Formats: sequence, C-alpha cells, structure tokens
Amino acid sequence: MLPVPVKVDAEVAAEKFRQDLDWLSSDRAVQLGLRLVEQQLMYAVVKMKGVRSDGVEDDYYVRLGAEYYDKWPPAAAFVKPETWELAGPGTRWFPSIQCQGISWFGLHAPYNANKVMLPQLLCFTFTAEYYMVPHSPPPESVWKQGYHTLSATLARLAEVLKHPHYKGPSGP
Amino acid sequence: MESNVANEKPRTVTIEVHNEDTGKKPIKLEGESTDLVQSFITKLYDALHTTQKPEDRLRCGKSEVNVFAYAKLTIVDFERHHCASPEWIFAGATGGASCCPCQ
Repeated sequence: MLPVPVKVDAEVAAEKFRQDLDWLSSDRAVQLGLRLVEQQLMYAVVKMKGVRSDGVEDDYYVRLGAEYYDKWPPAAAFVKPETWELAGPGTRWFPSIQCQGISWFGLHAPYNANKVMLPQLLCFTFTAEYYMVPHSPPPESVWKQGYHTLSATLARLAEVLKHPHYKGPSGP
Repeated sequence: MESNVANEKPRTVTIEVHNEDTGKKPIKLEGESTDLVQSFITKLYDALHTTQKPEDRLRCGKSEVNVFAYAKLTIVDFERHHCASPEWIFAGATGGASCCPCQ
C-alpha cells in the first residue's frame, strides 16, 4: 500500500509549485488550451477546455493545491469560476466524462468508500487525493518526486476533457 | 505503403518530443531520413535514461498517431504516410481507476 500524503514544508512546496507552474507558458500548454487564471503561494487555478465530439467547447476551472507538492502530486479539483469553490456534480462546472479505451481515470463527487470520504476525487495517479484512498497501482505509474511535475496532472486532465471521453457539462 | 527511399538523398530529420510527465524543455532527436522510427525511439529513451514500458505512450502531432506502432518504418515513410508533424508527445504510464471505474 502506498503512503498517505502528508503536508510538506509550505515554503519549499510553494517555491517548487511556483517553478513548475512556469510550464503553463510553454507551447505545449498553450496547445492543450491551458491558461493560468489565478496564482497564489499554495494554490493556482487553471482554465481548461472541454471539447465535445461536435467541436463545442466548454470552459472548466481546476484548482491545484501545493500542500503536498512535490513529494506527492498537486491536489486537484474542479471549481466554480471566481469563487473557486468546489464544483458539485450535476452542475455546469463539473464535467461529464465517460472514458473510452482508457482505464486510468475516474471522476467522483463525492467519493465515499474504503473508509475515506472526499468531496471530489479525480482518480488517477497524478493527484494527491488519489493517494488518500487505498490503491495499489503499477509501480511505473506512481508519482515520482523529482521527475513528475504538475504538467503530468494537467496534461492527463486535458486528455480526458476531449472527445471521445468528454461528454459535456454534467448539469445546467 | 512503404516507399523506396534508396534513390533519395538522405536529409537530417529533427523531432521535438514534449515530455508531458516532466513539462521540461522538449527533447530534440536528430537522425537521417533513412533511419527507422525505432532509432528515434531508442534515442528518446536514451535521453530519458530509462527503458520502454508497456504503458508508455508516444503520439505524433495533433493526429496523435501512435509512434510505437510504426517503429519498423523509416522516418521518411512514417512522415509521408502517417504523421508529418515534427512534434511528438511522450507520456509514461498513468494509474488510476481500476478500483473506482470511470463513471
């Protein structure tokens, strides 16, 4: 079983987080439609695009938290615009994702199993919350401090927010 | 589909690989147009200081063609018939939802 995330030194986490957020100005991040819209010491909000099968695009906001970074991945959650409060299922700001041909992503709100309750779980190995739930992933898919960065988190999210996985907002 | 490149003058092919796991500066791979795609893949793993794992993905450009599937082609044939983009995207294994399947 993998160790549960423990908060790291805030100063160290904030500095590493700040450095790695620079990736959002790279060509690749721009290609993926990612845009940094809020940056604080211990969190950032990234605007992402959901792209439906007919090409219609929907904006989403993902809040990344640095509390465990980069010993563990960033905490990640879909949030509402402006307030950055957690987006609830069945609302405009929470996407509907049905994975096609991939088995590495799950999206739950709330998650309540294995004696763990989380308001939201972006279930893949590049979020901190993933490690708060008992999992036994293949070793090669586990977050490696010093190798993986938040680019891994955001690039995978950009991938599932596209056709054929992305279906649209989960509510009005 | 493979073309006969024997009569063509070899040229240098440069591929930039974005490593989505690290977000670091793209890795530049150079080779001759007559080289196999596999030789570019080998150079990539040399640069990454690791070996290929079954769940690794290497996609070409916006079409996201699976580069590994064409390892035996020459790079020029791969460019002509499958993906002409000089940008590839690498992503290592991702684990996740086997215990909490995708909704």
